[in-house]
Amino acid sequence: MHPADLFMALWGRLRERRDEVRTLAEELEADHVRAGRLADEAAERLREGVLALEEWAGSGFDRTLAAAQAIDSWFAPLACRYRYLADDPLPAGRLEARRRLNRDGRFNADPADGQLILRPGLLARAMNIRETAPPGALAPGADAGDFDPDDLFTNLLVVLPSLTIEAEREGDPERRIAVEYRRIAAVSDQDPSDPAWTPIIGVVPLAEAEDDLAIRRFRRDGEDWYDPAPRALGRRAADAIARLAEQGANFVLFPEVSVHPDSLAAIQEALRAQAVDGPIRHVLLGVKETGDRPRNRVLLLDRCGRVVGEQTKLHCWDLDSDQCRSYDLRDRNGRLLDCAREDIETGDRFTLFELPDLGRVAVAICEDLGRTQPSAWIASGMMVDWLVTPVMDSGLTTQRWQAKEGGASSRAGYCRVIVANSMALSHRFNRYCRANGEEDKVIEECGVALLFQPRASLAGAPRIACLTLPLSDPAPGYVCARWTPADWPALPDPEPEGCE
Amino acid sequence: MSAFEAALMRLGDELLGAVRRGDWAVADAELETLAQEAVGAIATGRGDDLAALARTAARCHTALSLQDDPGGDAMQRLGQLRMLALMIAAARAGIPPRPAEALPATAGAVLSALKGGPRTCPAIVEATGLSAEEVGGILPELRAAGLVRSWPAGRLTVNALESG
Repeated sequence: MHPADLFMALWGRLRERRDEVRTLAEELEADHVRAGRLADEAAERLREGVLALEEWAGSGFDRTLAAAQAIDSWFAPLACRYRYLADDPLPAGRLEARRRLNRDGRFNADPADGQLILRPGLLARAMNIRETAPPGALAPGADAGDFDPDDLFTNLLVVLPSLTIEAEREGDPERRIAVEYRRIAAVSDQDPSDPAWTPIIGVVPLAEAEDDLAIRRFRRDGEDWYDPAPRALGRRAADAIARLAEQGANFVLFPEVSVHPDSLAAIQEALRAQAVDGPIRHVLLGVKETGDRPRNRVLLLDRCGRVVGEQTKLHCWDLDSDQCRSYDLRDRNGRLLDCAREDIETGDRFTLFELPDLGRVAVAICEDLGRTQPSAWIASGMMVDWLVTPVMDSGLTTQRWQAKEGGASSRAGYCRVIVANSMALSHRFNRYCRANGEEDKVIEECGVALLFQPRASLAGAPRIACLTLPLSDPAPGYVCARWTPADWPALPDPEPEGCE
Repeated sequence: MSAFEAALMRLGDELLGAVRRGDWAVADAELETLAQEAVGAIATGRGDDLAALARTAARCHTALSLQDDPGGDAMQRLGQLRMLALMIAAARAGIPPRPAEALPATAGAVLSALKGGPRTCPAIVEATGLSAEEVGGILPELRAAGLVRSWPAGRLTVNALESG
């Protein structure tokens, strides 16, 4: 038996007895000597072999936990940026672990159990924030319900095969989606776990004018629907990529539904043109795909323009009357809509991508960032390097919902967050403001990117950069910034609800 | 660009040119040089040179992978470049901990704090006055170097001097 498979068995037992595990964990947190004695015994059994550890683990619940944690510790050298100089017990097991991860994308043998992976993302392998910021459940006054058995393990995380998420839209039942960790193997020249690495992020709003992202409205089944329709702007997108390559950008993002499928070829060609000597390693495209039903998707492209991953939006963004007013959504008779449903077929799969030149990336498209799942799971797992959120909204600011949600994700998940936005809806918003005497709210500098650096400790705050373009003259059509959070302001504390 | 990286760039250009004209003897000689330099940089821990070698290997691999209809000979060199790039990436993914005398002052402060007995990371922060980021950044290196051992206590991690 491989240590990873024993871990899965022990982890399953611990999950079944969650309350007992919590009590035991609290006892051990108060008695470091007992915890140390158990850890030493478990490590000694593991040196003898997995079967010896398994036998020992079965003779007491505290031993079950200690055995699982010993296996977790055995994986520490794989989850650390530094090479361990100490002895290496079970070297054949270590070899098998690497084989499994590279071949199958998991350490465990049975895919039905999910995927056992390294918990820290690449950025966290040099400075694991969980060292400095114990789980929130340990904070004074924390609710016992906050206890998460995953927090007993530093180096390993089980990605379950599926996850319950909220309904596609209000009133519908909850649903289960598939969850997958996908490791993309490719030749790379960047080491994302290098603490000195300061990548340059580029965002191309692409939809600059109102007509670049038309909002089609229609009636169906007695309800109003909206359907964003991006123009094919392949030349503009390709030019932006070429210029961002000149600027040294490493990761380029196009916002939600900003890219027409017909623009994809031009974008891929622009990437191929810079692939050999240029700096761009990955591009994320918010694409509107049409078919039986429209799909709101993100495509991940590599440096050569090849599609290496995709994520479909999981939740619809249905607009209420205030939002319809803000975006000046009217029916064919010119009447402002009371509500408008997003006309998309939602996805049934969530993927964590491990990209060779970037690290571990999760994509939450617009509304998906604000919903409980999978955002809460991403945050509580503290396992991604980047949480990327393409949106279609009026200008981003450090006060709006994206900043609140992005800041919360960055705080809880200790991950870098990027929000990328287009500009088309800001024109609609300004028209509404001008028509209603709210000139003070008119957007002139349109926020198209928010960059969040996670806090380094519980006492710290995330840092944020807001990148803008003039709405009236959005030249050069992109923004870019080097990831240097020391130069960014701290994110203001969250404001009370309802202050958007 | 350093002189070493400029030389690597010339090597890469020669390699790509040799593959394009089907001069496999020259292509293999350039690959052999690249492999020798990579092993030298890995063995001596020359991080900057390894980064330059990674860029060269990836650049050449990318250029070859973009060729339309590469023949079997070109594909063979593409595979060799991929293997070389993987070796360089593996070498860069893990770095050796610094020797005790080369560790920064923060390491000394953490080790001094642990002389008083085992402590969690927040307790070390409190004892040393260092930032949580500094302590969290040095502990993994001290563990890898075998100077500190750690064990879980519930959801906490307790650290102690290895000799203690």
